[in-house]
Amino acid sequence: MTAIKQNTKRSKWALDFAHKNKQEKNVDIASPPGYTPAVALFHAVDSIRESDSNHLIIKKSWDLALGPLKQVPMNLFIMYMAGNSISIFPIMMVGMLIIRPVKALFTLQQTFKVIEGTHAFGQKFVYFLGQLVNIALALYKCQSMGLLPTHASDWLAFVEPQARLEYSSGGFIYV
Amino acid sequence: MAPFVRSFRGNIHRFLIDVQILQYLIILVGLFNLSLCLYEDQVGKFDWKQNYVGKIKFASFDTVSAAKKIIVATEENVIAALNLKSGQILWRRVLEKGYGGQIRALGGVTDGDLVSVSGGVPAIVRAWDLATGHILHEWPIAEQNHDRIKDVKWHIKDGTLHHILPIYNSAVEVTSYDSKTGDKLKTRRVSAPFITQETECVLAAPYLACLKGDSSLAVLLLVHLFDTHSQPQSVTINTIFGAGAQGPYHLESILGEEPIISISADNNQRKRILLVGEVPVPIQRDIVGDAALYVVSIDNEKILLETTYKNGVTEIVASELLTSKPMPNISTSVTHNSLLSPTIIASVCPRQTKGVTCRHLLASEDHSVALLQHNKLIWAREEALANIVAVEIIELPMSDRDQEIETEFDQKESIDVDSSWDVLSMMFRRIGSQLKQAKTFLQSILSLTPQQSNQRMDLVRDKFGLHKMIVLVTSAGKLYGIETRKGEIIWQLRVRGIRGFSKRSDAIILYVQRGSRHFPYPPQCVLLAEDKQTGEGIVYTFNPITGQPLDGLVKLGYRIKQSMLLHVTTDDFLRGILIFDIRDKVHVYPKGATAIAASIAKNTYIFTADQTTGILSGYSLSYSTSQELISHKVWELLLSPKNQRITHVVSKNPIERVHSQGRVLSDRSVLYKYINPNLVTIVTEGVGHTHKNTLNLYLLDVVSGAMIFSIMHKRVRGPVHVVHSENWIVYSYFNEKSRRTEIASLELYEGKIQSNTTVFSSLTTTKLPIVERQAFIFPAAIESMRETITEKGITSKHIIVALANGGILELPWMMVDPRRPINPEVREEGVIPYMPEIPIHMDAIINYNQSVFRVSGIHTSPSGLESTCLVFVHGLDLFYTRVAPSKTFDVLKEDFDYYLIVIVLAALLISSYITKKLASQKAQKQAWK
Repeated sequence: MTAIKQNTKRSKWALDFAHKNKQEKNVDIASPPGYTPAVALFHAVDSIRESDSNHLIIKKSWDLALGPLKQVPMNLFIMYMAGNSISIFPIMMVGMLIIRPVKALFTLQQTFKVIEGTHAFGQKFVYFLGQLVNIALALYKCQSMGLLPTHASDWLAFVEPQARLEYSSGGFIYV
Repeated sequence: MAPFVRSFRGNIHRFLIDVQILQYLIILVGLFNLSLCLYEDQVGKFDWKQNYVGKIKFASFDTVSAAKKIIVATEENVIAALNLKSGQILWRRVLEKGYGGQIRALGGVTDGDLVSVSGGVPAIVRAWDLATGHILHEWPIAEQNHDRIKDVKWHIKDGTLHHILPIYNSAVEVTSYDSKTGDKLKTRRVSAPFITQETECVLAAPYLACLKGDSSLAVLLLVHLFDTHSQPQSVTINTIFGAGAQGPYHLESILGEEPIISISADNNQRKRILLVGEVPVPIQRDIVGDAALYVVSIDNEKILLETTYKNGVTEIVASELLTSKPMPNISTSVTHNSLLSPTIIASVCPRQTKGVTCRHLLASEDHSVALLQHNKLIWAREEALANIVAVEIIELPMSDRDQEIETEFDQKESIDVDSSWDVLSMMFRRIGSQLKQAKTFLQSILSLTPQQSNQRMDLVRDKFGLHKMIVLVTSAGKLYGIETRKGEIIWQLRVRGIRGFSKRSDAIILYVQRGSRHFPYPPQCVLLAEDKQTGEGIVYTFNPITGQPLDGLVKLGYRIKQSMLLHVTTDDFLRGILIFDIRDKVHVYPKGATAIAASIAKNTYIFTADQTTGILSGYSLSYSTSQELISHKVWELLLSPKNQRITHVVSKNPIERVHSQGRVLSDRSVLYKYINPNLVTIVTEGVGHTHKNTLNLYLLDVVSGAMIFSIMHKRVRGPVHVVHSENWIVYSYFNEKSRRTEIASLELYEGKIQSNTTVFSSLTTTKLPIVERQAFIFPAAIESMRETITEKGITSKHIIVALANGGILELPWMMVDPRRPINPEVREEGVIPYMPEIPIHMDAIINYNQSVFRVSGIHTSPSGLESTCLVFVHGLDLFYTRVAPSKTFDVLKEDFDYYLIVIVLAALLISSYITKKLASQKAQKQAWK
């Protein structure tokens, strides 16, 4: 109430451009210098664009989510190039192939911190799936290189010797 | 174009083949790099060798050569020269083994040339160079009467060898040969119609003395061998002994240069001497029956030496032969540990400026040899060690300090019985032991008197368990304890009145009942043997570290058929032994172990193999009660038909542990090993159907009596050596067809799945194992074989092979692996392609140039290090070393540079601190700018 009072008080002296008074409602005031309606129009387009940026975030986050899956062909190519021989470079590549997705999975929450929205869960899921696919690929590579302990021979060192049930002794008779 | 292509293709093909060969070569070379070899500076560092000659048969002093020495010929068919001063072997020549090399006569040393007669039919005469031991001449004697070789007497004199053969009821045939060239010089027949098969004759050159007639009216007849016209002289027993002597009489030729014989009477109670000559002179003096006699001449005077042994004192009494006048200046009396009822086998008494000094070479009952000069024992040789029958390698006890710690935390005391820990007394004990440690430490620093201890300071367990004690049992019944570092004899122990089991070639059984890990209980070994008189069993326990007898000699009162060491211990960590007597009754020694033995009797089995009948029998103890063990025959197998004889029964080493339960195939699946602890290899040798030598090998499960596998080799004969370990058997034999030694190997596999992964029972396993087999050519004769053994069985196995040429080869088992593929396309990891011949690589000879001869056995024992196995080879020589089949993977190399590592680490540490400081300073400066 006091603000309105102040306004009425002040109105005697001040020219208010921003607020239209009741009296001046019908008065068509010329546009201020430098003001062109075209700019206002432009502003309107801009606001339309701003409303579109939400969509952009979603798009971007989808990009992020689909990133691992997009890596798959590249990984396949790397795997093909590395070959099945066990030497330092193929081992390093396979190591990278495994470690990268695992790391990414651990930092999943951090990666998706910036991303919000209705699609967030789906994106997370897709991202997760993509990393899983990468891991599976790396494991397949390990398997084809013979690095996975999938055979019985890999566990041979842990096989306990059979306990002996009967004890026997003897030989030539002495007398 | 086409020819070019073809040639190109051919080139490629050849190239590929070359590459393949190269690959094999690389693999082979790589393999040999695996085996351990020695650097020059390591010679004698891990190994030692001792040379022996064996029990002395003939000996004589070589006084003609510039270097004085003793020439000996031994029961082990060895001729050797010993250093007079030290007793060391100057040279040694090992003749043929067994009957073919038996030394029958040795002579001619006084003439400056050594002549030996050895062997049977034909006997071989060899003339030796005294200084170097080289053979100068060698020729065989064509023997007419093959079956009379044992009656032939030999006499070597003045470069002539006389072959003296009594022909029954007619004459004595004396054939003389030139000992160098072998020319037959003369054959004489001296008539002696009184000689029959029963006549006892001894040679007292140039006479042959024969005792004729029964005990009451015996006549001694003397035949001069080199005078065909002379008539036999006769001396009645009464003229020698006077009236009243009782038979049976026994004739003996007295050692020495003179023709003197001794006749014993009254059941060997007394003896009299007869000087043989143109007129035989009897000496009218009684000599005690057990005195050993020797006649030595000093200035053409004959001196009789009588050696007697009583209560550890050896007395040599000298007297003039004819007058019986005692000569106290030559008589001696000596007490020494290494003498045991000695006899003089050679003696020499040269006159020197100071007077007469006699040197006697004494051979004791326990095969040891000693040289006596004046009253002093100059040296002694333990020749019993040339004939070892049982070996055990035992860990040394802990040092005194460790023992104190052990007492402090004694298990029995530390068990909290009534939940009231006596804290105070424990603390006092702790402080007390700390004080003691401090005291010994101070003493060692101030180099005060070393503390009194019941053990030698160096005879303690070392960090890696490489220093051990070898306990040896010799056929002479003498026991030795030898430490492994230098081969020093720590203790020796005589067990009198025992002998080895006659049927098992004088074997004496040695068991370790308690090792040295169970402080405060002393380690204990037990000996099983026969009583010399009765043939009944004897048990003798002793401490293997100190050589102290524990319970003394225990006479069992029954004959032992078999024995077994139990795998369980009593409360005081003593493993009992089961003794199986001739009436199939089972006894337990010590008695206190009966309860524990009865508790495991249900699963205990004993088997016996009878060599004469060829019967194998298995006994179960499952009917035992808690008081008494009862054996019950569960299976019997008649193995050898008439023409086959069981020669080997080989079980696995009971302390063996197998780490890897299977074998990885090329497709990464596992072939599981068939590890049956009750599996026994049995080898029979004999003649086959078409009169060819054959060899059969059987694998028998001795619990169930099941025959697992059998194989027959035709046209093959011994010597057979078998190694049985883990799931494989390696055996060697001589192939008569190809005339070479071959090694065959068998390997047993359960298959790709294990039927029972947790336990193995011989009674439930019905599936027969898969048997892989392969044979290889071995380009050397084999004397003995044994596998290496390590504590956990992780290290790969090598086979230690003693070769006839004196080398000891470390042969990787991989080389005799039966799965070595013939087709090199299919290859498993670590398996080399099959090649028929096993190469002998000189790097793999573990005794480098220290040849050992007449190897009778190899004993292997695990050390504290998993990688290292201790090897002890015995025979005529003793050799000890250690081998690391998979290299010493668990120790740093000897030349490992500790200093470099320390210096580098220290430098890095310091530099990192310095740079840190510098960096902070720089940062500070930067901040101020």
